[in-house]
Amino acid sequence: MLARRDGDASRQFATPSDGEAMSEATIMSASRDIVPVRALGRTGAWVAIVGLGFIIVAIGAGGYELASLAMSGRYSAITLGEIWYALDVGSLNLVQAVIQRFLHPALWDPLIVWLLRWPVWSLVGGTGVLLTTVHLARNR
Amino acid sequence: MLFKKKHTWELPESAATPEHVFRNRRRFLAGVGLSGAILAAPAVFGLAGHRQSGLSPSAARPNTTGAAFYPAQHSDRFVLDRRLTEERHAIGYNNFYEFGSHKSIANAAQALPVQPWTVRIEGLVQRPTTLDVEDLLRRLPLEERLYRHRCVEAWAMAVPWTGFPMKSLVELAEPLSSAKFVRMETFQLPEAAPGQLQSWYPWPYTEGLTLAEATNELALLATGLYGKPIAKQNGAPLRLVLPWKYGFKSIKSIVRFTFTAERPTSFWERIQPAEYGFWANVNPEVSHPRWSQATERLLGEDRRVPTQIFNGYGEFVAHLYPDRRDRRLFM
Repeated sequence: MLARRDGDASRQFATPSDGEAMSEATIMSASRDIVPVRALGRTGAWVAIVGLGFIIVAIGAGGYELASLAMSGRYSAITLGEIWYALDVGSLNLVQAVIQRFLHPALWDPLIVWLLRWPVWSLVGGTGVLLTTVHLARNR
Repeated sequence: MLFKKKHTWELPESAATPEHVFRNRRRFLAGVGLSGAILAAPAVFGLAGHRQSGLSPSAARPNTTGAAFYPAQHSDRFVLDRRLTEERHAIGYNNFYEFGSHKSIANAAQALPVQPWTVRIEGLVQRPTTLDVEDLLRRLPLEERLYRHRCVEAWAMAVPWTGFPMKSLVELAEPLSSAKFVRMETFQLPEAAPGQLQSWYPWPYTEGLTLAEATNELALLATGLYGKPIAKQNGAPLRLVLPWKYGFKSIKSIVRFTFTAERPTSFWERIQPAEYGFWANVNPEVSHPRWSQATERLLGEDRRVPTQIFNGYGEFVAHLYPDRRDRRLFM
């Protein structure tokens, strides 16, 4: 007999070694209720939400850059480094020092500096599109 | 009769790509992509050493500015309480943020072109002027002094600097009576100094002193180290040396002196004012927010020694700071 006790995932299902064979139909229907599968579904929704959030931030940053361009006539990108510097310069400074002094100088410069010099709209927007695409592909 | 008309996209079974070929092709394409990425990485990240491509080949030569002036007359007025740091340590362990936040920037610093090098004197002065460093060496009295150097990061060294008193440069500049401070500025050359590509920092590096500090007899503008022109990683061709303050006040590779009536904001003060203030006088009793300043590690030696107030130079500078209870003077 298949024992199911909601709320106790570790004891929800008996196994064939318990002396009872599980039919394929039983396994298929049970698998829909397995907690990890539901959790995966929720994670997928979060991926989409975070992805959309990134896209919105990217549109905002791009819009700000365009507005600045229109007003000053000069294009000036908002970089990831500038955002980090504005939000928490202490952590930026600390992370740079830890990476260059204790891991490898080249990991910070040129690799991470290269990333930090990208315009926010491209890096955050790209990540947002990637996350949203992953979510859509998973739910297709 | 039933006629089956084939769609254009329909293929006979025999024309389908076998699974193993299909999988191999994907592996091949992935391999090509990965190889391309690996080959392209040096170009993308600038690892191919072309960072200095905008500079002349002579930029990488060692600093020889005013080589004929060394060794200079030795001053007996400033004595050490410890052994001189070996040269290899003093020139191989450096803070020079323009070239990175780690200590092994010596090689990277060789990209800095230091000849010719001019210094601008401006602001509240009788006659703003631009001088070549070689001219300064000819006009001002060079001497060698042995100084202790204390970094805010709690390491220390003792080295022989060669230079001229900052007081003589102030006299040369003839500041107006309204001038109360002097602001100093480092070069701005991101094609040679990759740290300056981090545009979020307030480059160029700046520092400031009161005129009383600048004309104190300890304040030295150094052009040499260990009896020869100063190495690029140590601040060639002209740097400040203030032995009673933490090392970050001793600005390197100076290009500009501006005399002002208002207190300037220094590079680190602008970035993290709670950790690196304007005054930055050495005091073992005032800790950095993240570490103690009570002791210091001697470069090249496996030991720590107690730190002294004003780095042991109180007899020369204590009178500049009558209120020692003001902790802002020591951070």
